[in-house]
Amino acid sequence: MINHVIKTWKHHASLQLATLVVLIAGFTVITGVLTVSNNLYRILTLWGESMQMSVYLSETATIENTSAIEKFLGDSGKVDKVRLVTKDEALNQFRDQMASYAPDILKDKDLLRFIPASFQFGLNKNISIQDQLKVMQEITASVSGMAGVEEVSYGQDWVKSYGAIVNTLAWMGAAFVLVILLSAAFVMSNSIHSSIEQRREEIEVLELIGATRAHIRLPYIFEGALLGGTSSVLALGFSYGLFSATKNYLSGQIAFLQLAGHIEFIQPGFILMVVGFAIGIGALASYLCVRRINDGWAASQSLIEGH
Amino acid sequence: MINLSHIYKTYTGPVHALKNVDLKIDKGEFVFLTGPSGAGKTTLFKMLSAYDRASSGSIDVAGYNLMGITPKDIPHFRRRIGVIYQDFKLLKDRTIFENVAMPLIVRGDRPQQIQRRVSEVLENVGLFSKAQQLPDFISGGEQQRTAIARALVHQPGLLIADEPTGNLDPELSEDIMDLLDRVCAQGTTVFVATHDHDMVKRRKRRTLQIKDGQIVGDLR
Ligand SMILES: Nc1ncnc2c1ncn2[C@@H]1O[C@H](COP(=O)(O)OP(=O)(O)OP(=O)(O)O)[C@@H](O)[C@H]1O
Ligand SMILES: [Mg+2]
Repeated sequence: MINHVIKTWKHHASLQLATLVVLIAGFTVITGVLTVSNNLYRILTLWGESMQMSVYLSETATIENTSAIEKFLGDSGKVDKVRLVTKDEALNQFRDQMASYAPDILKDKDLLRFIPASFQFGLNKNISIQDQLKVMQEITASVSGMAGVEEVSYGQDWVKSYGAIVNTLAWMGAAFVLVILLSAAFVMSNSIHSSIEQRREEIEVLELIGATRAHIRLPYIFEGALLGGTSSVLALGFSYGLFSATKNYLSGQIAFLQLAGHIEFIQPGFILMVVGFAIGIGALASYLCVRRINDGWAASQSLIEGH
Repeated sequence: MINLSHIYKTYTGPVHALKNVDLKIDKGEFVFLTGPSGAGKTTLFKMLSAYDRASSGSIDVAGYNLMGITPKDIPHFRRRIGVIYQDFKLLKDRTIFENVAMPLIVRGDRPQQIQRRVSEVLENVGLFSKAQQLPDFISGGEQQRTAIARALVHQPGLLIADEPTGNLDPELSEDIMDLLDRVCAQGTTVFVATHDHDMVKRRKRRTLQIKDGQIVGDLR
């Protein structure tokens, strides 16, 4: 098999090189798309984690009401860091924030009555960003009906548009990756196809002297897998270089956005997926192509039939 | 060994290359096939060697029914026969030695065995010194002898030779025909297409004549 590959490279070096370059380009694009969408997702998740929900308690809320609400939130498994902000704490916070702007307001005794106690919490990290809005709405719906609850707030409008953006991006990303994957598969099978088509004479002669299908096909399948694997690994290396350069740029030129610290290369799982996909598609494309030629009657179907 | 009946072969065009050919050749026979260019000699050989499928009729060769042969059986049938193609069908990126060794490699012979047998056959066709050359760097006659060596290397039960001496000088042609005679004497059925009428006359073997896709003579 190794001999087959060496021979192929010796005699069809430029064709193989062209195929390899096309494949590397294809996988670089795939890796690039994966990296960008992965990081967009990460950044959006970071934003999502900083989203806070508040359940404001009514004036009449009893101790039992309060602990029932706390228990409900804790048992739901969907929220994190539940914290009770009492009236006094809320007032103090408010005072600290307002002191410099409107010192007069703080003298108003009635004000105390208008600042309610509340539960403050964030969403559990395990909740994917597509689900955040839904989960917030669910929590709002069930908590609103509980005794002692005045109002539930999560910055409804902002979260809605944030959720819409995330969902749109997720769909677009998935569609884009799918298109890229399909076209990569298409480009790969095309270049492997032409690379094998150029060697059809060898397949014809091997058939004529009685080589079995396995004997004829295996070296080509191995070669396709190797080509796919090699090009994806090279593409990953290449993409990593591009990624590092981009990251450097982000931390140097536009450091104020503080993005550099948060972006990262695609996860090891994705890397394995890309390489596995490449090997699989290389082997499959080779197999389909060599099978089409190697039907037992290859020589009689040759276009360049000699006499 | 060979049993053909009512064989037709029509190429797109349509060209009727073979028309109702009946033919029977026994095991161990040596038979010449003669006829003008375009008569259908190569086409007939293609039908016999499972190179291509006939349009209709029935073909039995070496115990295989070629009209109903499965893709799985084709390689096994082809290992039983040796074919010298008019256009040689050598692989340009392999040495003469590797080309000749292929029938033994595909059936899984051991390297030592291959080495010994290939050297022997190359010796027989006078090509031992060219073993490490590539086909493009030897003469037409030498390429032809390489094709002959490859057809004989696995000691097939049936040898089909399409103008095996077409590129050889008279002396070398005689040598090759002597070699084919020896192969036949060892039990291989030999079927040779040729334009060389003098040689056919001299050798006094059964001779089939083909013209316009039909067998028009069978001289014993
Ligand atoms: N693949 C093909 N497609 C169409 N026509 C073909 C094909 N192969 C052969 N023919 C035609 O079939 C006829 C027989 O051709 P064939 O090659 O069998 O002749 P031949 O007797 O071997 O001739 P030669 O002595 O020149 O080798 C010719 O008319 C030829 O043009
Ligand atoms: Mg011919």
